[in-house]
Amino acid sequence: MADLTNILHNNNELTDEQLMSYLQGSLSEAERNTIEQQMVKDDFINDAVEGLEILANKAQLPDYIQQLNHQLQKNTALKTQRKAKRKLKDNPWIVIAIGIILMICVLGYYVLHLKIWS
Amino acid sequence: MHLINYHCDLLKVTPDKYQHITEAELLQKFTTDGNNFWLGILLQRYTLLLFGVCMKYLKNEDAAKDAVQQIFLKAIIELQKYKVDYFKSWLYMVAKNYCLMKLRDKHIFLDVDDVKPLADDDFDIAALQDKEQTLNLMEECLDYLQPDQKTCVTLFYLQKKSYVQIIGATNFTMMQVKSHIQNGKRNLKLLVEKKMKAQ
Repeated sequence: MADLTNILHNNNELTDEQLMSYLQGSLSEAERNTIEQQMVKDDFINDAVEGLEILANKAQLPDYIQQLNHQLQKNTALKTQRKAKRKLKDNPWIVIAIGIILMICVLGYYVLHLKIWS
Repeated sequence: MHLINYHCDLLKVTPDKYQHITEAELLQKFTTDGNNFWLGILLQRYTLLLFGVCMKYLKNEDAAKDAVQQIFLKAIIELQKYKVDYFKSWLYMVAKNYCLMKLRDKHIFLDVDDVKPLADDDFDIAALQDKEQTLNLMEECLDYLQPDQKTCVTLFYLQKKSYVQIIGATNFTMMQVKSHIQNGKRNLKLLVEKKMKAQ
């Protein structure tokens, strides 16, 4: 007889691969039961499975996920770059120091050339 | 063939490079350096689930995709403001609230059954230390459940039958099976807790 205390304990996290196999119907009945037990415990998983089951064309699902992940990566990378720029703005001394160094270089170059011309 | 390929494709989407980092560690890294990159890695683990939830409520693929993007943005903004301890539950609530707000904007209101609260917490672990005693109690309490609930709970948890098999064995609908299991589980929990307190 199986252990009834399974009702009480959380199973391991469900992976995308397992979820996709469940949606394809390629799992054994025991494996389906394992995932369904997680659905009973976790409303997030239950709602997601119910939603994915109503998809008309499940073959497009990887493309959708890829698009969404790509967009997410773009957004989070963009924000990171903007933050780096902001950091530079937040430290005016860095900008001032770079400006002074550049001015010294230009002045040095000019003075050297003046000496050569004279 | 398409179906076989698509879960392989999905695996490519998930960055293996960061799979060893736990959710708590990713959140900690974000808190430390404020880099949204870590949130991207974390949120990406939930793209499929979020898309499923949005599909359930919005019933439209384009609307669901837009909703997932908005939920990502909302999550990124909110996580910059405060610390979240239970990330998965929090993200689910953000997603669900977003979808319900979208439906409200379209003057669509769901039945109470569709907006059920989060699942009950599991039993108090400390109270379960004596596993054998708990198991005996549960088997005893099983007889006090309504017959339909008892049948579904027994088939589901003891005989490890899938929903489809239970439907075949009982002639219940999918909704009924899910409902009997959920209610049976909740009632069983209440009965066991009551018995434990009485002891």
